[in-house]
Amino acid sequence: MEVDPPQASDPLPGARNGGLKRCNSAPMINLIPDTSSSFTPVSQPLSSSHNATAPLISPVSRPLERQRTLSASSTSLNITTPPIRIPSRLIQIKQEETTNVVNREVAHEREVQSSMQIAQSWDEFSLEDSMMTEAKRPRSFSEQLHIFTSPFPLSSSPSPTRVGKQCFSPSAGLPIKDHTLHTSPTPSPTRRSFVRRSLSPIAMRPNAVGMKRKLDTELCEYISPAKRFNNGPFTPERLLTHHPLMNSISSSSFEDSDPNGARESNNSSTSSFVSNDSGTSMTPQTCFTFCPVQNNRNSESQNSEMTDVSEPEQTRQDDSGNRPQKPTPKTIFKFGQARETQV
Amino acid sequence: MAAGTGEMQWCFSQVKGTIEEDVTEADIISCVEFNHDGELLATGDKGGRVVIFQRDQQSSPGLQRRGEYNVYSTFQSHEPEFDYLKSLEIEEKINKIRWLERANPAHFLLSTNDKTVKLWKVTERDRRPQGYNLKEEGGTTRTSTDITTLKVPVFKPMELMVEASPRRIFANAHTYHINSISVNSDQETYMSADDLRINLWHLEITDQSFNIVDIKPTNMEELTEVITAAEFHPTECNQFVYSSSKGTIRLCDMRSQALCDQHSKIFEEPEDPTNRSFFSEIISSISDVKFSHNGRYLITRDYLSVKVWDLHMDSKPIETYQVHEYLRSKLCSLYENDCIFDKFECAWSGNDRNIMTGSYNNFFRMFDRETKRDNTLEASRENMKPSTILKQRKISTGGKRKKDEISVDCLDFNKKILHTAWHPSENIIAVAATNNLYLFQNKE
Repeated sequence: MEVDPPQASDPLPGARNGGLKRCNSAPMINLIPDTSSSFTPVSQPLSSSHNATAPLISPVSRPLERQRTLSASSTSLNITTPPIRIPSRLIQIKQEETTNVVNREVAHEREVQSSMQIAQSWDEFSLEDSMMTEAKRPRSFSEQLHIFTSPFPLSSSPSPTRVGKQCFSPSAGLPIKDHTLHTSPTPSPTRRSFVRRSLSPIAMRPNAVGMKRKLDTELCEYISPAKRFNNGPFTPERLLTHHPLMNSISSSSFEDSDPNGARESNNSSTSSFVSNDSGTSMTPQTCFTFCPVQNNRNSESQNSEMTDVSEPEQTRQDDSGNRPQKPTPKTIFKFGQARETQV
Repeated sequence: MAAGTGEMQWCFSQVKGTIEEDVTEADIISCVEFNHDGELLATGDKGGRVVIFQRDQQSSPGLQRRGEYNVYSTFQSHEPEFDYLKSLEIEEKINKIRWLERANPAHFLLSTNDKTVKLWKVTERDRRPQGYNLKEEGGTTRTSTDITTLKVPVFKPMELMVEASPRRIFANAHTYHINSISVNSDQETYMSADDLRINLWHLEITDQSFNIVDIKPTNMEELTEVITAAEFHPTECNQFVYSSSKGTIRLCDMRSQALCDQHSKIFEEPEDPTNRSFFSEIISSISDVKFSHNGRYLITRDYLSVKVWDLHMDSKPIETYQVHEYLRSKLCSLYENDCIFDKFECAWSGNDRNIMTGSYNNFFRMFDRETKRDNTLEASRENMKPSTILKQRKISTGGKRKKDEISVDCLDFNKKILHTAWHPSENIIAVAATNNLYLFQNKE
């Protein structure tokens, strides 16, 4: 069903058009006067081709998501309806509130149905038989179903916030992760999290009930929230590396006796963080950068078009049953270990 | 200063960020805010991160401080969320940052996305304990046979570490998108405003908030305007204003009623019938409202102009400055590409004499209220020579285009300056141009 405003041809796209659309539960259907009741599957993949932080949706699609995917790859889409936008908050809210709940539900069901049709019809598109077998992911009966509620139970709000402090070293320009230096070796009895000690597979949590669900989130401070379906640029990775605003060019650098132009000062260095502007050398004892594990999850997840809603965070079996490459023991996360012993 | 007239001559100071063809959406700066003494500058971006810059603390008495801003701290404030009930995504984009006044060595700031406000504490750590009895410096446990003496751990200086920790999370109070937060002058309460409601919070209490404004009609069909911005009075802890999408500003006094739906004053300019068009209402929508530092005046930014209001006169603004009047004839195409809905911010200078706001093509505009002169400057990496005064840019509208002028049709509407901030006491401005942050200083 063609629901979208033209995108590709617009020479001056507003920030809204290709970007993440805000919460808008109002189905676009209501805006179109001549809504057709039948749904023709739109010929495009269900997985979002949008490379922003759009969540990868499973068969439970939303009208909003659909709109976004359509706008990202609208080349095949034939735009016949006039541009329909709701950038004005006033109109957006009116739409959301006045839509009959029943109608909204019906429309939502239709969306789900049609997207499932699309997903199923996509299986038939493969050119070779070998591709067919690989494309079908084994259904998740053998995999454990993980339902993540709030991964950060410390605060009772739903807003995910990283537990503990986020440390940053201005001279090195990198966030610091290792806490053994800076916290007391004997943890306070009121602290709920545990210092990373031995790699014992025995559960360290006193509360066995909470164990499976919480997955030691407090230890893994950069685990991204479980609600994320998509595996686009993870916020943890973005922060762990050099923030773009750390690149700085100052007028003072022109005034120095450096005739070769701008001395670009980076608060962080790309290779090692021993060098910094102040010139103080770092003793080996203080060079405890925590190198993030090379996350396999990015490449892993993008392979599959239909990721389960309940996809576990780190380790995941791919189709051939091989485990993704394990990180080195030094940097292994606690729950990664636990998973291994469970299976 | 140019011949004591008080006119500003702006020079490039710094630019932060990278040059990229394709800007990563998460790097787009979504708010800029100086703290109360101007030593810290916070920026929030669409990826939910906050970066704090600190002014260089070199002490050169007698000389003009160079005062460059360098990265002090960075942390992830908000994460993307998913509302399962409505099947909606909640963006992690930081809509606003507001600093609290400093009461102790730590710094506090409030940051908000569409749904949740968070209070962050930013502290420094420059020493650490050394010489534990049971552990080596690297963290490994010492074997008990090696321990022969007891010693008291001492604090040794270490490399400066800046820690940010979330102290309060104020969630679940807004059905609609939060567009503003404002800290009260009492430094104990603050308000958060979404499209239809404003809530008053106490900084210590996260599970309750008072609703002080509610403009949601019982029948949503009757909805005609939404709240676009709100701010507390800088000194009167009981007064605040909020602006609407219809171009009105309402001043409310919390002493009069618990629910301030009835305004105490409404600032509204009667519409100019000659300029009436299909877009009149859209362009009259106020995108930002700011009190002056002395609390006597307000500035409001609508799509084409900035207006100065005297709180004592609600019939019309005392001054109106056109930001980019040449766009009035282009409103139709600006509507087509959604640019007409861009929300520009505005800022006062520390002495309330100057006003600044952004425009397109990385231009920003400065207005001197005393001399009535205005200035158009560009935030661009081409003007990075030191001590060079930024050249005024001119836009030509007519057929004849002079040499240095740029024609309206050549303006890049993707390069918009929505977020700007002015240092509270000095003439330093921070201008956010998509993913780059520019700092300019007045040449003195």
